Amino acid sequence: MLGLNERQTALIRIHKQAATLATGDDPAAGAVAAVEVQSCEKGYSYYGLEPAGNAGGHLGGRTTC
Amino acid sequence: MTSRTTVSPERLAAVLNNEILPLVSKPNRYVGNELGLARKNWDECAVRFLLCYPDAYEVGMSHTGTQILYHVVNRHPDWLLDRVYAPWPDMEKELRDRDLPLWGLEYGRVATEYDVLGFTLQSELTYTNLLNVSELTYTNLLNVLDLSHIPIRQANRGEDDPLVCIGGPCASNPEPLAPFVDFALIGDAEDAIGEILGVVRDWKERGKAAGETRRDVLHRLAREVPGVYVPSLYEVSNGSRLARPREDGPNDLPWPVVARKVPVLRSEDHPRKMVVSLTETTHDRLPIEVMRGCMRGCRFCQAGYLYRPARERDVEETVAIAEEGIKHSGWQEVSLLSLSTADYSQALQLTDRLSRTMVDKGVGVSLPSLRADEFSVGLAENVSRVRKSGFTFAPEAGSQRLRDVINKGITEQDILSAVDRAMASGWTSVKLYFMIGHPTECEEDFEELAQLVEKIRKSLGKYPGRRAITLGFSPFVPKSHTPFQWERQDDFETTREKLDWVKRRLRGQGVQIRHHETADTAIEGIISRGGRHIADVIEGAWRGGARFDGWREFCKFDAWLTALEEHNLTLQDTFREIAEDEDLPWEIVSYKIDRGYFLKERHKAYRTAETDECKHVRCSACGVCDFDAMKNLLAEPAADVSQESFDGLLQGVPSTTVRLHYAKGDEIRFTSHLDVLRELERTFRRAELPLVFSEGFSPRPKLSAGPPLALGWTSQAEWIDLELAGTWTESRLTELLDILNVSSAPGVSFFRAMKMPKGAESLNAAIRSSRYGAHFPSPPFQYTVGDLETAVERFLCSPAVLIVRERKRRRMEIDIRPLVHEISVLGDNTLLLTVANGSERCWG
Repeated sequence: MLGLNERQTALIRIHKQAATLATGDDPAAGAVAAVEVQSCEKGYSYYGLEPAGNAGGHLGGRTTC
Repeated sequence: MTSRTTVSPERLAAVLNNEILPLVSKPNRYVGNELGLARKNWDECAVRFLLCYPDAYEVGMSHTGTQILYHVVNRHPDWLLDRVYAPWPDMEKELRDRDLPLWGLEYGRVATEYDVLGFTLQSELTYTNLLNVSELTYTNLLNVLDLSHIPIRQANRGEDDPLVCIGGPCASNPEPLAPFVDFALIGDAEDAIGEILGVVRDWKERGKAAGETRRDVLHRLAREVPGVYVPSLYEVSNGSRLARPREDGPNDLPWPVVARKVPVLRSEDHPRKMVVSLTETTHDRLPIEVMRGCMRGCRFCQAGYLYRPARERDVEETVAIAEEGIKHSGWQEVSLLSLSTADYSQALQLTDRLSRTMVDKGVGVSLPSLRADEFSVGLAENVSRVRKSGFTFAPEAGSQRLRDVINKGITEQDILSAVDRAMASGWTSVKLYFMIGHPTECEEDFEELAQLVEKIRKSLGKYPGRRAITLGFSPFVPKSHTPFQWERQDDFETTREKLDWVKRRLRGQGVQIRHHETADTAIEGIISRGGRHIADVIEGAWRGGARFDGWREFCKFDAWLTALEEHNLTLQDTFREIAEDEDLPWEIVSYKIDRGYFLKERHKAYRTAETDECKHVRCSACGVCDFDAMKNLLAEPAADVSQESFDGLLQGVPSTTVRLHYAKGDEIRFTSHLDVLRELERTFRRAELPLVFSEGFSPRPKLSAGPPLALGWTSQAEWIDLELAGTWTESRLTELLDILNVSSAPGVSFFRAMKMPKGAESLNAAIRSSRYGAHFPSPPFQYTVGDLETAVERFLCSPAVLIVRERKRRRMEIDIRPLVHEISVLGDNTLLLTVANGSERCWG
């Protein structure tokens, strides 16, 4: 529809935001027990968040959100 | 001619990320996002060294020597070592189209900002056991220089250009590269590299201000650092191909230049924390050099002579390196490297001890080079506790006479017993490697080879089930610094006739036959015994388009033939037998084995007389040892642990399915889905999770990932299930998240962990759709919100939207309309889409 060729298509920045089951739930549905990280911060990623303070391999995120 | 271009690291990163990396194959090769990087302060380092392995990233990242050099240089507070590899042709094109120079992976600085650009030139039989041969990377070396905007000829470089050097086993004949390099380091680098960088530092900080030129610092390196050869200070004249100090040059130059050797493999020189690639490499494993040097004396083997004497690492130290290395890297294999690990004096004790230590982690132990004897099978049995790899022997020659000529030191009975024991121990296939074209080879040798294969086949027939034999053949190429350095090399026709004869003779016997390309071998032959005159041929071939000569898909042999012809040379000239009284170009360097020893060995070969191995049997007086600091050095005897119990793999134990929700960030967006999964497995091993393994010959951790994410995309909605031993309460799951986020690679973040009920549907089947944001950055896109809204409306109103996809030469027409459930336009050049699972490749 936008008339893009394969080279141009590769330059679109695509970020996956959610995955859903057939029921519309997220894949955590049905878990017997679940935990999650308590605080997140803006990471190096263009879109993403990461666990606060210490994501492995570097010093963690930059801006608290 | 090259012109220097300067680009800031920020600008380079932006161009790469936004314009180039999305377009090239395996983009993660160029990102510099490995684990275990030194991360030094650029401005605070006095000397910056860019090390190039002039082949594909995956090959270079498998090289143990690079890991050692990386560690030895970067541990010094004032020095910095960065890496670069030969860019793949698609990347070369992108760089040339933009006139963008090559850069160091970690610091993003263009190559001309470094003080030294070093090339490591490895050969086939050294520790990595790679199938490429370094001579086949020489055109890549020129290409890297050119792409770095550094003049390829030494004579054309300016005062501010980096000093260009070579090292590694192929530098043992530096002459074919002499006009391209400023200096060569001959021999072991551990000590010499520090001395070299010290001289460079002094030149930068003091010498330049005092008026010392590039030529002055090269002279200092030649004079002050043993093992350094500066070709521009030497010349070839009077019809000889052997370089001597220039008549108009300094009179204090070494001649010959004697190779550096470290008397002992020091513990502190072997890295504990290695650089771990997030891209699958040729050998994704923890390499430990357990022994340098070999005492066998196979007469064709250059490495066997260059690396003498044999220096062994102690068992305790090796186990400690392995434990720390696996804890840091998460690799699933430890490889005990040497030219012949079966000859390591504590081989049985080491393999037994190490495999016991590693088995409960699911970490295998591998031995890349085995002799064809029963002892080697015993070693292989020791290391097969986790997984059984194939069994490969290298008899090198098919007849006993020829094995005696090359001084292989094994009998037919050794080979047959080894195969028999391997089959009895559960291996189902055997690979045997031979060389063809050895000196004195004749038809009877081939007939005996065929008979040997028939005997092996008969031996395999005693065992039930299908048993496979694969034969590999490599044409013999005479190498410098060996007793066969004077020998002729078979021409194309002769090599092909011999291969055809073997194929005919063994046809119908269920034997698979593989062989090296004859073009590869010819290029290797042109260079390996060449003098300075061959430099023009190398340059000619490169200018004619030769790159990646060891890669069948790129090898341009015609460019080499044309270059030879342009310089009035023929293949026959380079393949000829050399007279014993001729000067040899590589005798400008000495590994302390003189030509008298090599001649004696050559003549013994003709008499089929063997030379004993020198570690346990008898010294052959080759001249390398001084029997004081320099001598064969054996490992301390190690304790026998064969009666001690040990933990096995976690298999068939009570377990819990744990589901993890994680994000894939910008740092790893150019890491492929499969590479991310491999990295997750390494993360779980680093975190020391109690992973449950599958059964069978090659047990694997029980992991199950969600739908794949396309290369170049990021995600905050990735999922993976893993089977963990034991019961997992909420508090354990919280600890799990903490340890995973400490152990993960940059760009991987774990957000949620949950215990799933038994029998939960697999992620891949259960996840039906995904929501994506698609952003059209400006530049290069120039869309208004209206443009996007119009396109979305047309799309939604279309009953069908057909796109054509070509994958692996198959052309497919796909209607993507039903795959897209929702689209909306956001204000900032972004679309929001919900699409069916599996439709990720239908964008555009």
